[in-house]
Amino acid sequence: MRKTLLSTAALTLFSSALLADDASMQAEIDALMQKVEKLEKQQKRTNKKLSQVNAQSANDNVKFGIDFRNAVDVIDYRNNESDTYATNPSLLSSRLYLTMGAAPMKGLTFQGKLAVYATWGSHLYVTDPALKDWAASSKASDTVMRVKEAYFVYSDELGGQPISVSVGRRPSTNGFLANYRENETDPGSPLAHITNMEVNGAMVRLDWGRFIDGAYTKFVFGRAHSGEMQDIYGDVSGARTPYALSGGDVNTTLEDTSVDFLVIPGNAYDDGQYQVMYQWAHIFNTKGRKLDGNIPKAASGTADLFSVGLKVTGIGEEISDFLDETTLFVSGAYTHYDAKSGYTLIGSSDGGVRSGSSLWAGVIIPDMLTERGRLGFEYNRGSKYWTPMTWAEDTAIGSKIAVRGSAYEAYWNFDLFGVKYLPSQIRYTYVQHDYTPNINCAGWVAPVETDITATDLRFAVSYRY
Amino acid sequence: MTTFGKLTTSALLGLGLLTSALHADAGKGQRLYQKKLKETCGMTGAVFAAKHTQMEWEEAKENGNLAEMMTEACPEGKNFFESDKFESKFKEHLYDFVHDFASDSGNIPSC
Repeated sequence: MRKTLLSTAALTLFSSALLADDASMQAEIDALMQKVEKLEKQQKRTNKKLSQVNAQSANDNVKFGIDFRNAVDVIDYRNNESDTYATNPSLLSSRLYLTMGAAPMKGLTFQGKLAVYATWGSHLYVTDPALKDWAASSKASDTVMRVKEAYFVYSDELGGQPISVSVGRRPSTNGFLANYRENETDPGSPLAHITNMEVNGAMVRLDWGRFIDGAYTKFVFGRAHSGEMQDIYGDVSGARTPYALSGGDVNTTLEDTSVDFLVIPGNAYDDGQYQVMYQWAHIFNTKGRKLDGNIPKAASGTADLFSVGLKVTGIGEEISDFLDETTLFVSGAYTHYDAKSGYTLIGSSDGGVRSGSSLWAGVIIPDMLTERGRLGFEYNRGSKYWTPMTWAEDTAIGSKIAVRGSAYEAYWNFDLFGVKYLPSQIRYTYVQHDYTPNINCAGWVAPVETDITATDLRFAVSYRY
Repeated sequence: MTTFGKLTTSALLGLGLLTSALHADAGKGQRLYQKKLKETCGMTGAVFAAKHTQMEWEEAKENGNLAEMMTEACPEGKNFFESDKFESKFKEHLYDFVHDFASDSGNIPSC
């Protein structure tokens, strides 16, 4: 009996101990669960905070990028009529872009690009009269840093219509189709077939994507040349009139009217594989020759430039990797210059017109040697009076797109050492000028038949990050 | 061609052949989205990518559930995200794209 009682007591005590152990274990588990929950909440808060910090560090300040290119161009010109030539076996140049971007709030962005594009051992300041600010950062000259681009874009919706507004120095170089030959991933804003210049303007963009894949239209109004002033202190012979010209645009000795433009580029369709772009550009007061007094660079009339281009990114539908990575493009363009009475444009009769046309086609294929390397082949053909506004095109021998004759080009874009931050290029451009080369603004020059061959072999290595 | 030109050509040809391992391309991912998913998902690539933060996309890729996360962001694209081609051909490019344009990427769209 005593034994039984003792056993029962021992059993009771043991059970109690077990129960106590269970209870404390449960308490410990509960405490741990609470801790885990707390830690999870902390982790969520940390992630949220990290995202905020990430977004702030990226969005609330200017982000800088670098595009630093060193190149050598081997240049050769042959006048096959006079049997004369000009060469430069090694034009060495460095081009630095300091890119800037900021997005302080949803729908508002700022983009900027400061540029130095210099020949090695250049003069301190290159002041060639023909070098204007529409090509200042696009032609190798001196080591002065200039503003190539600076603009803000504000995007919103007006009654369901997406709209963007922008003012500033536009991304108006190396546009649609020219980015391949420049080894740039993203094209600039306009169609490079007719517009490749650094300009300032105001832009309104209307998006039609809800009706047609990728469709939009931009309306850009800007100024390519500031006239109606003699210098920053005015007409020195008379009263001091800063930024003005005595008599204004009717000044007969200095007929220098401002050159304004309206450019309407747009995407007609873009589904990621097929892209059709169009553009109309109207130039007011374009420069030509005043017949009375034989004055060049006078406001002589208007110019209208039209272009339509098709780009196909990937041939067919997953036929092969090679075709998926192949890009084809073809673009047509037309220019029409209309002189005022008493003036001539591109050698037109008094008040006459001059029209020109051009074709541009290209194919870009995988190089089959490197992972991201591409080989490109392009062809251009332009007529006698073909006169686009492509003076900022980065070709040492002058714009090949503006050729009045034929141009052939081949290039290999590849990553040096396979490093994507070191995009490099070997490019060969062959240009046959059948008429006066159109390499800068010279609407007062009448094209004449010629036979000039120009070639440019470029090797370029960049650091881009 | 000049001696200088020949030397430069030889050097660059040689260096260009020293390639790196296969790497993805955000630009290609963007085009893939536009071509194969934009209409199906009913949103732009930027909106799709901004459904998650960079860290969330990274974690999904590391944990092997990128397809699930993309399906969650675009249920209509389920068949695409579960296809063999997505896994073998498109995943890396699309990941690069969504990571580049994630909600906290700070990526600034162009004009």
